[in-house]
Amino acid sequence: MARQTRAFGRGQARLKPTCITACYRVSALFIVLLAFGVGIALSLIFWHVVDDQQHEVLNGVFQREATNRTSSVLLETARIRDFLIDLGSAYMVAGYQLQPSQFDLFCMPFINRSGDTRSVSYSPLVTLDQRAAFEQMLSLEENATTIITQLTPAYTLEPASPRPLYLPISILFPPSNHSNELVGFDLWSAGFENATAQAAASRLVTCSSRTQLSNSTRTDIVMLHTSSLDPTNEQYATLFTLPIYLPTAATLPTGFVSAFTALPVLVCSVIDCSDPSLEVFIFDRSAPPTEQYLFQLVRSSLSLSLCVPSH
Amino acid sequence: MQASGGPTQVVWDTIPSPDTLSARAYQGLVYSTDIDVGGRTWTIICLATSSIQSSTSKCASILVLLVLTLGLLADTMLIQSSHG
Repeated sequence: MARQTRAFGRGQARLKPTCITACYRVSALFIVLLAFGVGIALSLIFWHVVDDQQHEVLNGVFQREATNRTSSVLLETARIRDFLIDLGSAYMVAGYQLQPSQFDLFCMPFINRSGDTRSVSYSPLVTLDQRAAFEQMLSLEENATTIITQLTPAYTLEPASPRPLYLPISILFPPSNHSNELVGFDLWSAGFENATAQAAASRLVTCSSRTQLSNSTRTDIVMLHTSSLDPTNEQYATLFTLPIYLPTAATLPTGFVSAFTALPVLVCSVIDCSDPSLEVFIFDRSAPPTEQYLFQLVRSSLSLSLCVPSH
Repeated sequence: MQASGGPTQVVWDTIPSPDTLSARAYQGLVYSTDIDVGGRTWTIICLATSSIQSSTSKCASILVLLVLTLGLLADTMLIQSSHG
């Protein structure tokens, strides 16, 4: 407190400010304002330091989560590839086309462990000359009249028109109510020619491009890659395929083993799609520009996209 | 590249540019990687959303606010004592 001159008169005290008192008050106010300014400045500096620290922590968490998700998808596709290689090896070891019961036994552990791959199939190459005999054999196996079918522009099945070669499904696992309709389905009528041609050329497991198997009014063919229980209503299928070369056929593959899946189903089987912290997009860089979109995890509703591009 | 949908939902036909992705991601956090899948190259892109804020960062924010409040309180007391 500043020094003051006190005057006493009639029992009342009265402050009489002097020049020194005023100087002290000014300096005290200056100190307070200085302390206030320094406090604000320190707070701002502290805020920036904490903000930077926070961003670094956030970036670390993000990088770890994103890497985990990407690795999970990569591992899952590798698992499908390894399974098809094993299945192809089984054909090579047997030296003949596996019977449906043998095929089912081999695929059962994989399908039971897998949450993503909806169907595994074997499709032999069938020439036009062999078509009648092939359909007769399928009918005997299925205990019902079974013919080679093709996909129409309306995404329904119809008897396949005559052409030199077919790639019809002869064995399909797991069995479903629609198995009878899907057995005999010519994969080449659905646009998987490029994938099988690439697989035949490389003799490696090959992934197809985005291939539409149904439209908004779902057809039975969608059962190949998804199920009626899936909330995604996915219309596009992804096919992993491997050619089978048996000793009897040297140049052309005997057939193809294939795994069908829908990307939302595949991705959400390995990552937590209900986690809202990340948006995930998948594009096919090998596809033409208008067909690169494959998948997205939508942030707003936390539901899966229908995998339908905007055009 | 073509986009559609509401403010939060977007569908891109082709891979968006880094600027587009950064603008959409929370604090510009974008992770992009190419993987080989059966002879095809897939690009997986992850964008952070605001939900990624960890409890640590929330604690830090609360701490900063606490320090600011205490600072202002101390200043107020100092002003009052100087006038007293």
